[in-house]
Amino acid sequence: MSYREKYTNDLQSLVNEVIDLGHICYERLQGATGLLSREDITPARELVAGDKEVNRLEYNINSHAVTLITTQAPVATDTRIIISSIKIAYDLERISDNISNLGEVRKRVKITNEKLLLRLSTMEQLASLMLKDVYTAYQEQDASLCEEVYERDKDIDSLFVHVTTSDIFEETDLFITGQSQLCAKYLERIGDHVKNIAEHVYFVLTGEKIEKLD
Amino acid sequence: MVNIMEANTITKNAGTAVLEDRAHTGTQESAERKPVFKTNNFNLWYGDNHALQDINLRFNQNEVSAIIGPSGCGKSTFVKALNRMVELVPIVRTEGEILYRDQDIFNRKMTVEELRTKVGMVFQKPNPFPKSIYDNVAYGPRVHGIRKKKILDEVVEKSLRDAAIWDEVKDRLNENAYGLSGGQQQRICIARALATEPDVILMDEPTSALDPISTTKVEDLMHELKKNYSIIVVTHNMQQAARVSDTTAFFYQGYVVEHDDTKVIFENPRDQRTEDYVSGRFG
Repeated sequence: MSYREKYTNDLQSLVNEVIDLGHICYERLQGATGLLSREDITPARELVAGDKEVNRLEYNINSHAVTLITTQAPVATDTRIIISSIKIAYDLERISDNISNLGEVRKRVKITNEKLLLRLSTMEQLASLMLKDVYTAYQEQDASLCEEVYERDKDIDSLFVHVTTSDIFEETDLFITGQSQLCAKYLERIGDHVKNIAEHVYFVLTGEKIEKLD
Repeated sequence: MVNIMEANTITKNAGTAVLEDRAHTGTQESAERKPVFKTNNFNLWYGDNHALQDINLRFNQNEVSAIIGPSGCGKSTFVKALNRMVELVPIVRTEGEILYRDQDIFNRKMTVEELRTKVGMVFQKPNPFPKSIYDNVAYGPRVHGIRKKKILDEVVEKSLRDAAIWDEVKDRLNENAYGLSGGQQQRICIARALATEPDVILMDEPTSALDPISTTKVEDLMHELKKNYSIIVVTHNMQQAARVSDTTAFFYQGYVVEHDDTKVIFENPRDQRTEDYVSGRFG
């Protein structure tokens, strides 16, 4: 006979909500940097508008997590799942904000520097892959994959340094240069948040913190 | 989507090898944590029923040690073995050692009276004697031959203060203890246990018959008492074990599945059965 069926189901729903939110953020990230050079501004506006739904879902996750804590006195793995759900939802919400910020940049300027666009696109793809792999790490209960994802944030960081310090990306219009560098910053932040998620998933799986020297 | 229950099992299986080493070993020994009780391969039978199997545990001085487990797992039997109360059952047979301060409690050198003076007990239901509050607490010292009123007064006051009930009863010490509330009666019983100046206090579900406020008072009391005594408490209330104890032993079907610091048992237990039990999924 299984005990606490409702509790177990509620906990599973919470996990599913977080995974759904992750899927939405992953979809939002696909092609986000491609919009920066697009003539049509509508997709950028839609990207910005899409953040509202993410905020709503994050709120729901927090609210369901709080209810589970106050009504079910969770312990052990259950506690880690609930606390990490709140934290992962926060990181996903911040990822979504940064994706919207890319849309905001396109609303202001169009970026045409091919060399720069290539780097930004690479950063986007690296972040996407990290997000995809951290999801797989949870599905497959693979703690070492979390550690890999955690490490791979460094690749995005070095691209960010490259984009912001090399003069080959400079434009005659300083405003455009500034906006381009903001885009790199947003993508670098997305990488940081996925790295956080990798830490949270690792904690759920092992009960421990990733031990790495940064 | 991964099913949570399956997910947990996968994670736990990775730790099985570690578990084999840890099971039955108890918490780590260290210089600061002096043991009051140690059991070595302790076994107990009720007739043919092997109720306790190879119990190797260690309980430290000035700590609250909790024992948890589903009904019939042997928790109460074990605690009653610690002060030899279990011998009152005629069909009981034991094997192995229980060391109290390095002395085997089944050795003839130690009498039951000596042991029970050092190892007091508080039960699930408050069981004061049908006497005055004063006489309840003075009972033990009187049995031990203390007759002087002045000394008895001191012992009674100190015990009632230590049991955090002095302020509530100091003006009615001669009233019958039955007139008190359940929570107060239980603290009188704790005071009665303290009056003989024990070293260890065994508590068998001390708050399961009490209301939440009285429960809180008894739990706070445990925190205070562990400064001077060592406490071993059996509880069905998982959150209570998590709140009050330093170490927790999980009993299941007569053996110890896991014994570790309470933080480990409730945050990241090694054994899947412990995890399932503390999270209320079986038992």
